[in-house]
Amino acid sequence: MYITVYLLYSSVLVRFIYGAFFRSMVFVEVDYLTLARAIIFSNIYVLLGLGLNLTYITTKIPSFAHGDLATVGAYVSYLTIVFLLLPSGLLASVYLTFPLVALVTGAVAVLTYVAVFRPMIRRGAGVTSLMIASFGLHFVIFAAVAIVADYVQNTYGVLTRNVLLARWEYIWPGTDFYTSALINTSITVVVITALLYLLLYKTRYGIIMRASIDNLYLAKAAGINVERVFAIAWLLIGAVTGIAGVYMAMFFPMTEELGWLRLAIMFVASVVGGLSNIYGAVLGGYVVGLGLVLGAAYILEPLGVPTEFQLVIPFAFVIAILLFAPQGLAGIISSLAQRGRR
Amino acid sequence: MILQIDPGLLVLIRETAVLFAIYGIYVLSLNLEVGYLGLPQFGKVMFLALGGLAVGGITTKIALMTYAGINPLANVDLYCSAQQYQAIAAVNKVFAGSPLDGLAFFLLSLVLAAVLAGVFGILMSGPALRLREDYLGILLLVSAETVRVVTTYTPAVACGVFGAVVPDPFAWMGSFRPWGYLAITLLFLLLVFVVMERLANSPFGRALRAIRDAETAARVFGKDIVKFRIRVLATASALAGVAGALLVFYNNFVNMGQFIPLVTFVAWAMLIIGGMGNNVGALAGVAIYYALDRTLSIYKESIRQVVNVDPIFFQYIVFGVVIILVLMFRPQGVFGEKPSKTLSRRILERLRGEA
Repeated sequence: MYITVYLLYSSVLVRFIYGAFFRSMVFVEVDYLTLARAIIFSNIYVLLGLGLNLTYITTKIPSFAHGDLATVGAYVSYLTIVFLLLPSGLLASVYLTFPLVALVTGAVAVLTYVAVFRPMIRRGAGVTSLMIASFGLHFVIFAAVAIVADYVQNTYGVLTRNVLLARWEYIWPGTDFYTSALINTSITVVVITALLYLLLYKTRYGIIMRASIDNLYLAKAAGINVERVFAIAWLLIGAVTGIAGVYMAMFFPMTEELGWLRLAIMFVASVVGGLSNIYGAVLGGYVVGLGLVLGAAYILEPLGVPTEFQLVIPFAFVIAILLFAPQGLAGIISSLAQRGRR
Repeated sequence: MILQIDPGLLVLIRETAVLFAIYGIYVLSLNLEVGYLGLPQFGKVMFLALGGLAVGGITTKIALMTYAGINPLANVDLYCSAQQYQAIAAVNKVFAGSPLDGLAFFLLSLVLAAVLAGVFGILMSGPALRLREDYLGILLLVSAETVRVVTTYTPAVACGVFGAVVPDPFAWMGSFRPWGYLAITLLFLLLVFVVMERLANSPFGRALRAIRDAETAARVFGKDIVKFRIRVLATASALAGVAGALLVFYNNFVNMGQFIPLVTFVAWAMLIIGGMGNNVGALAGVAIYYALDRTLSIYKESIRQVVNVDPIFFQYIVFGVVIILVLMFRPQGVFGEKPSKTLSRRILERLRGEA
């Protein structure tokens, strides 16, 4: 089902839908660019939310260092392009850097799990102290990225702040940047969710992983090395988040604060979908991304409210969700589906 | 013989002491929520911001209308971008001549800050009663961000992104103003510390710990958990509001954009380093943080000679590593939680004999 939905989004069909739907609605003039931006941001938040939900499932906390993993991904991509791809005369494209981005960010994520979260969980640390530890981790990663950026800029004279990765995005023939980004982010989301689905539901390791997630103690009793399984899960978290970070750096100027500044929105995307459901992030990402961009363009702007207020839309949404349905949208839908089956 | 102290160092110590006192109040109020009640208060900065808002957004306007006859709301953009400094200087001139007016303005600001933050604290206790730890943490964090975004981008509140200049209620102190302000903040800190210490050792404080450690058991013993949470949130938020007002008067300036989540976490870090559930520990945490911060900032420039990067980032790394190490190897902090002080056995026996 997912795949058909994404095909709708990813292909040129968007223009088709746009033409069929919105042009007939005279009162709401949705222009293509805004819609494209909305879907692109939704895709990015889906990727970020996927990682955050996996974090939540494995460590029982939403990590404050999650945004910084995205920052690491963006910088790895940029430095690879500048120091590896451009001098070697190869085609410079962010997609050539994806394997390295996934590997390095994944390694950083595994390191955070092995060095900080795992020992703390073993010592029986509570939710609050784990969250504060993840905040300490944010500081370490954030400052490490800044030091690398400073060092590279001062030593090699390469600009490392306020860069946009957009110029190395693959542009499909005959399209502009936004259309290409729309297609590419959608393909990435489809591929990653499909891979995750295949891994979790069609492989032996996926069964082990789902068993560990579902019932920790039972999985341990069955002889599964749960901690190793979770370390692998953190590799996935890092890889997905790093790739999301590359896309973020196409639209937001790249600084060491790239991910940290958008952390609250990532939390919102995760919570709206439902933290303990991996695919809740897909739903949450779309609700937040569409709400943010379309809300700013078609609700706030006509009312004369400054666009900075767009952040309030998802925030208000999450406050409402937390107060009235803390299990998230995915939880609501599944409970409705169960009621319908009865 | 008078000990000669470098005047620059003296100023550094004085300014650090003022910040210590203000953050001391802030962290003590966080300790009441986190250390005693076990609430994941990740939105603490919201109450500091509301205290700042009460001063920069409300009482400043009142002072302007009363003492300078200017209505900043008549043309917010013009006032914020051009007229602020002259208007505030006119008010300061009044305060310089009349200490009574200044003090009245100061006290009104503090009361308003406490009331505004306290009311918001009570509002926040609604979700605090229902949600689980992690969700509540996110809700508070997001609420604090909402408050920051709304107040920062509404120019009528506190001049939005320009930031609002605030009149100086101690203008009459003249050149002694920095020392006078230090004395006032330390006085407030002492007051808050004594109240907190009494509160923590009272039956109320013991009930809070009972709720934190075993909610069901506390309920069985007839403790009304809802009431306790509301009271704690109201008290702690009001105190944080006072701290926010004091912070704004220290800078004589407020920009609502300064109340980012980082301010919450710095307070958490101080509390964790010092020791949760211990008021002395909370203050020790603030002291250790500032001692570390100032020492590092003195030696910072020598790092630049070794590696050519901004040394502030090494400070961040040290900060993050210290938090993680303390949480891992000494989760109780420097000063762990102590059993609450009750009456000594001799007095208890005497009281029992009398009864």
